[in-house]
Amino acid sequence: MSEELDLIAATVGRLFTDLADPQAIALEPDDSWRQRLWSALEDAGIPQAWAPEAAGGAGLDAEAVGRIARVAGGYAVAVPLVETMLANRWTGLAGLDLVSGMMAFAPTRPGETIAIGDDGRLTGTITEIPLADDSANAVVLAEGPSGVLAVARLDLTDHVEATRRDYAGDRRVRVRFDNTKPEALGQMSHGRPFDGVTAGAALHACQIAGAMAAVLEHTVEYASDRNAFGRPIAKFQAVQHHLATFAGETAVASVVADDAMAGLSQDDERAFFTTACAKVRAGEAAYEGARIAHQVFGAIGYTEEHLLHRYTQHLWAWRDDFGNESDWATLLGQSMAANGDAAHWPTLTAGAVAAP
Amino acid sequence: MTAQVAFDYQPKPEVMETLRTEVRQFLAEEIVAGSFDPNDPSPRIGADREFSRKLGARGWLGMTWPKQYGGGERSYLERYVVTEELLVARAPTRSHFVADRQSGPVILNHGSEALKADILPRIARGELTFCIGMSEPDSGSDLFAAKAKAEPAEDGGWRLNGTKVWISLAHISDYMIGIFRTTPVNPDDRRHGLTQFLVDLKAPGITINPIPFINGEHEFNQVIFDDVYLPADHLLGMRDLAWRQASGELAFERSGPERFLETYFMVPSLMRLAGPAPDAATAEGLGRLTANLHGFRQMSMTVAAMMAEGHDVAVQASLVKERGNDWEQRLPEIARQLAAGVDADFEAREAFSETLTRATQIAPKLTIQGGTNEILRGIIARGLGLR
Repeated sequence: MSEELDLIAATVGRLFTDLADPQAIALEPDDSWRQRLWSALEDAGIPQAWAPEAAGGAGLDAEAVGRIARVAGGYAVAVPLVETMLANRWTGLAGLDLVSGMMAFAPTRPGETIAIGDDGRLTGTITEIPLADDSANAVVLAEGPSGVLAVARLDLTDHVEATRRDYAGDRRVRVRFDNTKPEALGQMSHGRPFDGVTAGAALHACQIAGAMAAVLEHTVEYASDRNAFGRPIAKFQAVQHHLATFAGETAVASVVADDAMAGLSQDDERAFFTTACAKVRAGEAAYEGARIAHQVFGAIGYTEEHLLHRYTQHLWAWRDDFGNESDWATLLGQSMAANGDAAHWPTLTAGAVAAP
Repeated sequence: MTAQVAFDYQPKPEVMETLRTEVRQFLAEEIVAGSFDPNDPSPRIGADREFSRKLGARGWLGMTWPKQYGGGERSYLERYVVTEELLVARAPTRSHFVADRQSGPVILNHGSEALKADILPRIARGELTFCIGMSEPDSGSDLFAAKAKAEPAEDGGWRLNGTKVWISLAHISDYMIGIFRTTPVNPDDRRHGLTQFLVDLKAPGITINPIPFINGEHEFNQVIFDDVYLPADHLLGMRDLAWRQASGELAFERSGPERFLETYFMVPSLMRLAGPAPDAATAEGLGRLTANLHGFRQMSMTVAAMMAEGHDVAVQASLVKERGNDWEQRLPEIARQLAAGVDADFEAREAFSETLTRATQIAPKLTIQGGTNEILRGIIARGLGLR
């Protein structure tokens, strides 16, 4: 299995290296690279990787999908691969036909809900859908009247209430549905919209882990090449200590992200606990890693032409997607507190707790 | 570059949770029987030979060692489970802890057949307490400044002279595994000239003096060696090459759950204060503490799994200790700040203050033992190819 994973990771890595190398795309006159990259990813079946085989997807497991998200994170480019993998998964699970193209996926925060009426119309607000510029098509998970999970696909264009740019300059939109009729609608007898938020959070932890490993490597390389006061700055103990801390934070992000993907394949309680921990801890690590990287790179890392900010600004942004550290920590803390102090350790070792 | 700092995550085997249930059952019975009080906040070493013997009888000491020396031939992950359950319950482990974690494996790797057959089964039965003799008045993390020396005796044995200091638990130990200088310092090869010895602390010529902690607890000692005789086979491994031997051994010392759980009791203590429905800020704080604990546990278990597969995890082990220590040291202060916003009655706050006092007092020493975090960052930097 791990050889198969390595093969998938190598395939995805090669596509990104060939078509979306951060240094190369920075020099391109426009962003036509995005469509070239996307077509290549689609030809390789990557956006459909997590959709069931019966629906025409690759039917990969969560571990493999986490690995794809991690590799993609290592290139930190603005394509909604994770969002599209999520959209296609639930499209397939609900028995709808898969469509091609970049997709958005919602809800994108714990606690945010879209209601669906008996007439199949959607009502509610999603405060922040990332990367929605090329992703006019969205898949929305909504809670039906009798507890069924509705999976709706629709065009977002007419429902955008507000737009803003995130750290990385990518578009984020607020959308409002008001008795909106979707283009396609499927149902699942079990599951909740929260499952989608959880999966999105876990995959963003994977992207953070991938980006941190890449930034660590670039930063170590830079510290070894850059001379100041007559020697490489890597020889200064203060710089070494910064990078050692960075390596530790990268390691924490890596193991919590992997563990969350393992948790997703198990029950709801395990998925909630491992994902909450992963999004909180990987988010904390992302901040620390970006901080250290900028400190080591100094002035050059703060310039538009340098590639560092392509990573660090996505690291900052990914902390917020599908719930930030505060959102998940509060939920996790409420669940742990409700069970009492004596249950804290057993819950930690079980790696499972019900969401509040 | 990244291979040396990579963590190869693996799913945890079910056998760990079966064992965990057994350990918890045992601990619950011991608490009922009055062996120890998990909520006693008073300063204490937590050493109890009777308790260690009970663990030995259960097969929970020397778990990973060969059966022929009294071991259990079980996995590092199973040992991990026993270690963390004992720590979190605040069971008295100090009679066997160093022997089981560190001294036993050193004897297993470097001891003569006779020593292995004599000592290891006794450690596995919980009968022996060990201490580590490295630091000296002028030598702490800089091991190569060590001056206490071993000189050849007439019959092939050795004679020890000098002073070791800040030696944890020497006063209750049967044996020390100590580092002594066997060849004068060579400035061109500082890693040469130190040798590991097994020292019977009852040998004539040894004086042990207490060095109390800031909280009144007696754990540290000064150990003076005045012409102490050692038989020839008490030299462990290769003469003059202790440094090379010690670096492998430190992976055990640096990656265990004791590197981030020493102040864990502050978490349930904070929860008792804040109650089942804390405000959002306290809940968030508790959630972040929980997420951090989960992260360090995953790191530590991953290192245990990698050790079992024969990987060299010296750098990864240092990463566990560096991150874990840093956090467990800050934990009491984080809990203190969260507690400030909690509405609680006098009694609840006093109980919290008592545990906070203890945790705050022990926190400063946590990043010193096992190599200071500054030393560890140097090791990690070397793993990153920076030095």
